[in-house]
Amino acid sequence: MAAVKVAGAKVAEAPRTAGPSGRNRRYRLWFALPAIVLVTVFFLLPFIANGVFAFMQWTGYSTTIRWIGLGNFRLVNELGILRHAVVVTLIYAVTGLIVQNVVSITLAKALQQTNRVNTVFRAIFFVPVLISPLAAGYIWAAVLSPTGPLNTVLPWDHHYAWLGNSTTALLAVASIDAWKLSGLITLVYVAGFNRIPRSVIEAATLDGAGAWRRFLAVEFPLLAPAFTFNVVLSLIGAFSALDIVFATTAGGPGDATTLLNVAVYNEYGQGLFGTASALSFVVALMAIVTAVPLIGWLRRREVQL
Amino acid sequence: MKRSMAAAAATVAVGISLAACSSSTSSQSSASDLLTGASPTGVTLTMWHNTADSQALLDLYKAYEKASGNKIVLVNMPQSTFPTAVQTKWATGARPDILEWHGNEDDAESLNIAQNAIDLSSMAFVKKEGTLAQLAGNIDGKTYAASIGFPSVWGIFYNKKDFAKADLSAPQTYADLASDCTVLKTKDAGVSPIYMAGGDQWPTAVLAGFDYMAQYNVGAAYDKSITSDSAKLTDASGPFIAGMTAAEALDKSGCFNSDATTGTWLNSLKAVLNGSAAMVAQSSDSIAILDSDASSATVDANVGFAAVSATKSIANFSPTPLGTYYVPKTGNTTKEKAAIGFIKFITGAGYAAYVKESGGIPTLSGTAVPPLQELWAEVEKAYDAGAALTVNSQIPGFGNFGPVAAELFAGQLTPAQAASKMQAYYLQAQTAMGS
Repeated sequence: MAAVKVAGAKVAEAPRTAGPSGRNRRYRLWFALPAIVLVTVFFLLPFIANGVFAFMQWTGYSTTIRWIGLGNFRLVNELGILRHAVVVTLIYAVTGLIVQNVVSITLAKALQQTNRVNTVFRAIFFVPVLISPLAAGYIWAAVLSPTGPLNTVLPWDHHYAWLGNSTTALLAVASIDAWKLSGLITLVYVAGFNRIPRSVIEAATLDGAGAWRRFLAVEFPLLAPAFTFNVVLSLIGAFSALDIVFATTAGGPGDATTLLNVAVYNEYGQGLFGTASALSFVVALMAIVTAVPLIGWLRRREVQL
Repeated sequence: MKRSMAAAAATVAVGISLAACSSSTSSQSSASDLLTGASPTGVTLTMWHNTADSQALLDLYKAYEKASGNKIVLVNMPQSTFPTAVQTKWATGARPDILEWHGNEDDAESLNIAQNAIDLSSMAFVKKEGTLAQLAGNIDGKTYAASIGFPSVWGIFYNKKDFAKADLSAPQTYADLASDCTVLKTKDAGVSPIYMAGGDQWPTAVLAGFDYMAQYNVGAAYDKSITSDSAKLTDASGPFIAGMTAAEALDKSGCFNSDATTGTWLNSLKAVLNGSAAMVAQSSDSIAILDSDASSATVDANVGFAAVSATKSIANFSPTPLGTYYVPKTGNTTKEKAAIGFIKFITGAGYAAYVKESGGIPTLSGTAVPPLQELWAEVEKAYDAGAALTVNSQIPGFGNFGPVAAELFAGQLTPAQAASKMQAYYLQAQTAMGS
């Protein structure tokens, strides 16, 4: 038992309730129980089941489910689905990450001061977050259609199919996803900017740093906690993206926007549940392998204020 | 450690058993008991149906409700994602009381219909359906579906006015498609010679394979050569690669609409109807959609149908998903009996009225052919002239042909690569069926 000593004399024993006694631990566990149950039922069990089915031959063609080792992974690799979907997902994630964070940091800087005008604009930019992803996808599909408003306002006269070209479709869909979440990311950055002590900025200004220099050398490094949160949110969002892609391109043209989750859906929709599970398992692995080290690295560069 | 291992093992076991349940059936009811006797009344039946169902089919459901005292709750399966929507819902273990689904053997096998649906072979409609009952929802000689919709007859729908303006006659071969495309481009730059609905993906399979392969699949000859392993989809000199090569050449010649990769089935029909596209490779299921866009007279005045294959004028057909019904085993004998009653009604007392309203060709003998609109008459003529079974009908794993053909037209695959992919899908399905 811990005790407080002054000059070698035992003067008082720390109260039993100060430490996490067995009774206290049990008390806290009750509060944690709902979260533990939810995580177990809705994450852990499906995750383990998915991991097992990834190694099973399971299709709608047969009632027999049997172990086939790496057979599903081998098949989706031979079909070119796995590699292609991983590459497309990574491009989608990186594009979304860049667009989302550049736009949001810019907006946050512009809307940093809390006043009536900025509050209105913050609310306006937050609206897309509240829109259903499918609705957002359908709206953008109409905007980007060959006869849609975007082509109408562009200076040149043609009917370009933004969602009909492999490259522009992928970039467009990733950007729509980024646009959809940018309001939320902006608010996080606004909070991050406002958390930076004014005295630090004033000191940099007195030292002769201009606005750009202050941003790069002072504000951006101190924005690290918000940056970490937003990067991880963007990445995980991209890895789990499906609805916006469905509403805009359904994975096309061809398979140009077939992200891993779209590939999972396609396999599942063909009654090929084993290969769908294998692809789904890859999504989980990608999220873990990418996000965990990234969080660790980003956390290390955070500065305690 | 041991405890956590045991917990993991238990989890896996629970998962596997849940999945196994979803794939199998709990029904132990005898088919003969279900097929005889009076149908129960006051029952609510769920039906998964295609949103492209014609008004005549929807009215037939209402007529059944009125006649039986039962209620049908329609669960909409969007036409644009119909196979995927059904498959994903089915995979969860959910079962409707009545399932509207493709009649192709390949599609029936993908739901393991032989295990999961009631054998209807001894019902009266089977004799009336004749040879169609040997194709629609038929696995190993047993009929699991009633198909009251006329088979989907695949070919080319063309705009008569565009063709007349360019002084062209209806195409018969892929060479005709290429030459007609050249002429149409010259005559009117505003008209897309061929509409490709790449956005919906599945329509791409029609031009890439269904139509081209028709002459090679008379008597299901090509299907049999693949399933007996005497030929492969990847054969360099085989018709499968040749079909995709011919279709790809049309694409590269600029014969398709500018939004070919995002175009949709519904828009393709509108385009051919209004003449902004001269042709679209589609099936007779499109006629109901055309008729909903304009009056039958307008449709007949503007749209014609032609049987087109590689080098001969041969149409191809497959049992239609619109009007083909299965009775899944649900374990609820009352509902199963009521669902059988539905099959009896639509193939018996309600059938004549349906045929009359649909204006289509009856699939059951003993029912008079109603006066057909001109476009339907052209389809019937092509069908009666010796249409071949559509190539995807009996080759397992062919449900992926649409997305693969879409990749071909998006320039992401060569015909040989597309064939390799389809061969892999076929082998995967074949292995799964054999397990």
